[in-house]
Amino acid sequence: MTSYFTLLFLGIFLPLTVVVYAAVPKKARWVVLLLASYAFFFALSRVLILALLVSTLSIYICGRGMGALIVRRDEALAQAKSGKKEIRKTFARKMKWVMVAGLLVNFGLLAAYKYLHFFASIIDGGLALIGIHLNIQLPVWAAPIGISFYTLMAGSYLVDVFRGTIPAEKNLGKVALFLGFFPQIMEGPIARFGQTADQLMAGNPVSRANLYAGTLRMLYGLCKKIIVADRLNAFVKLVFDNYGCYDGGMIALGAVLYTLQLYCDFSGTMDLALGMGRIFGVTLPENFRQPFFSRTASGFWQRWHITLGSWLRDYVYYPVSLSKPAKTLTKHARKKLGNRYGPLLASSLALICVWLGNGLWHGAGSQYLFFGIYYFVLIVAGSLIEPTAARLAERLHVSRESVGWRAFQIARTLVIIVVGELFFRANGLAAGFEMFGTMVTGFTFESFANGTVLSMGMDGKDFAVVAIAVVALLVVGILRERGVDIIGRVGAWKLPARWAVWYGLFLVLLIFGAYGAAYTPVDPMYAQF
Amino acid sequence: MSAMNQKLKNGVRSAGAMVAFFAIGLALVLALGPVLQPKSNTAEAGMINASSNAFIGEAPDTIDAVFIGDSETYTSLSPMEMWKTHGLATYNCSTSGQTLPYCSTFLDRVLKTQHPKVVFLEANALFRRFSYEKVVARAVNDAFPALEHHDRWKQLTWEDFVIDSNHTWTDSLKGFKMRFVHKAPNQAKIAENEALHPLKTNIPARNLAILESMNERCKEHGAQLVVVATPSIINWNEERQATMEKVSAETGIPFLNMNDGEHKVDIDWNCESYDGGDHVNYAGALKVSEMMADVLVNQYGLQDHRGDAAYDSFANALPEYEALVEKKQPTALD
Repeated sequence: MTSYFTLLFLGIFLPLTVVVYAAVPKKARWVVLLLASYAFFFALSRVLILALLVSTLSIYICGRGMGALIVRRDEALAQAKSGKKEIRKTFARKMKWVMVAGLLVNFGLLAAYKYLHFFASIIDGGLALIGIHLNIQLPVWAAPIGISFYTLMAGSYLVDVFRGTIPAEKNLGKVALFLGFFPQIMEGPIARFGQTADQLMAGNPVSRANLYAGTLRMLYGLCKKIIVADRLNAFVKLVFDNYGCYDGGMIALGAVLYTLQLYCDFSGTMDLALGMGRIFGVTLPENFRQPFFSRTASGFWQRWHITLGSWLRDYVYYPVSLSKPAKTLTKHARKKLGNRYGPLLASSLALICVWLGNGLWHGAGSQYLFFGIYYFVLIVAGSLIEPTAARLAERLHVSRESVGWRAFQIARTLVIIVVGELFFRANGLAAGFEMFGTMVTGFTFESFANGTVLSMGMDGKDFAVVAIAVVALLVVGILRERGVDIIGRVGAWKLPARWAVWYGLFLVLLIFGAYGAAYTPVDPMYAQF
Repeated sequence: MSAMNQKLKNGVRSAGAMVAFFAIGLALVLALGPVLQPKSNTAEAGMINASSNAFIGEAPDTIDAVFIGDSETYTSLSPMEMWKTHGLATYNCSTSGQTLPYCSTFLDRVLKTQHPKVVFLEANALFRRFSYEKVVARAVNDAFPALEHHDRWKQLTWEDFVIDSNHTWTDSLKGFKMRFVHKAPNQAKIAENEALHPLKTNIPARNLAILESMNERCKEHGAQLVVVATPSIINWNEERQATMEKVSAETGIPFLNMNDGEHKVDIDWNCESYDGGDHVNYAGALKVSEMMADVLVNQYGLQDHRGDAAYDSFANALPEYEALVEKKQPTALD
């Protein structure tokens, strides 16, 4: 078993887990989920399951430690007649140490698995500047599956316990299941303990409604991933791996198709995860909300990989912007720059932490750092010019809520997204700039006219399938944007219609899916981050 | 009591609905099979691994021996050469990187229309690793042809919904694939590669299970399964030989080693390999095929069918095969 998108997983592992889950008493169901989750993790990462166990045990122990401190603090407060502030401070300091210890274990593991080579190369580069050539050699090792995702979940658990948002969990199994739940272990969504832990332990029955809705959502996700994303893979790979051979038109098309591929791959996997969760009666947080309808770059990040954005907001942006140094900075900046730009300076400080974190989270590569900085610059620039843009629109009598203006904003944001994804996918930052340069200065339609475009692993019929899929995604997106619960509505139809929709989607997947001898299987793309 | 009855009724209804749901789904997938299956067995018609599968176009019961395996097999053993020199009717059903689940599928396909006396399984496939995922995927593809041929939607016409398959195409090389260039081995590179990716010399339990299952099916059809190690200096070594001899002794499946011993084929690796010692080229294949023909005649009693009208497919293919050899035309992979 290598991922969710295998016959072994979809045809045997998942159905077997559902059957056993449904068959055992309600109280034992969470155990079935935990065993299945660990079996899945072991199948994918073998002995690296130890890393997940260390994370689980560390947050459990630190959580319990903080929980014990809270009890002692409350007792001390109840007995104290004065000096309560000091007691709070003392216990807060102790709890902070425990939390930091837990965070160090988890983020230390993440750094060891993902960033050691990157940091070593930075140290090497830095020392080389002053004539010292260390040439640090480190062994190459594989990272446990989903470490970037479950580490953030582990971090959020520790901080939430520290903040008192959630109580420290006494049941180790509950913490283990929260962190390792197999539908979300590969690519998230990055859930919080308060969002999913109770549902996971509830042992909700496998109802007919949930089974139908869950499998339908899974089918929709499978269609996105296997019909669109995997079909586009050959074309995108050729363009990005051999960008020097293509003109600007092809590179632009490659960037657009990569953006579509990444969306269908990641959001398709999320549909699968949420659908699986639904079968077990667990509502996982949504990770996408029609991101290509965004009107601004910051709006895009409120709709794309939502759980990462909200994690960075709650555990990086707010702590940094509300920290004492940031508050002091804001105070001084207000005096110097005024009420408009002063606070912006302090929030920019927090924002750069968020975007560097976002970039680095995706990987230890210069292109990912650039990707983060790219959005930081765009979002800060957007905030800076917003008042001017508003005034200009007013003077020109342009309604900023008109359809035309909104369409322009969406189109502009799409360009920003596609350019960002070009750098993100490029094989290094230098390659990204070269591709961008070719796209801007060497844009022609020659490759379209001479048929090159149809000799890149996709023929006319493949493009037709992608085009039809895009229209279907657009229709679904518009309906969702209008608040229509499509799966809920279909679920309320009469049985023959409900089944017809299911079979229809299944046959479309079976016939038009990019799988089998003619295609190279593609693992979920975000699983590598 | 009535609540329990109601619960039972609901349970039965749910189970019934579930069975009906899966039955309809299964029927739909099965119904799609004949539509999506290639109507001819040529590569152009959408047949996957067309030349390796073209034995289905041969007249029933006209193949006395088949060779199943990976590229080591299809580059080493030329059925037409064996026909030319000894009048033997054999077929090479190997494909690139063939793993045992696919070998097993080929065996089943062959046994549907042919009664070979000997089935040769090339040893490299026996050592090749594969995941359980591959086993499941193969089983599903075998059970539901619609999945294996789903990509043929691009070629579908209305005729696909009404006409039956007509698999009559035969391959003039009978599954053999020729290479005429030569490349001498680079010993330093081979040693470096061996250090980086040591040759797997044990046979996993799942491989042995499939081997034994293939052996059983061969026995049921009156065929002798033989494991053959074709010449290769990259894919064969003494450890593999020891493993294979042990497996042969334990299972009773004969082992034919062309790298050493009585049946060793003397390959001049400097000019009889096209890729530096992994596979033999046409010149090497002539030697391997000669040795194989001797074994088939002397050990397994295969007969000369030249002049027998039932074997016209072989007789008719010979001029074309000789023309391709004359032109030194390398065979395209399918």
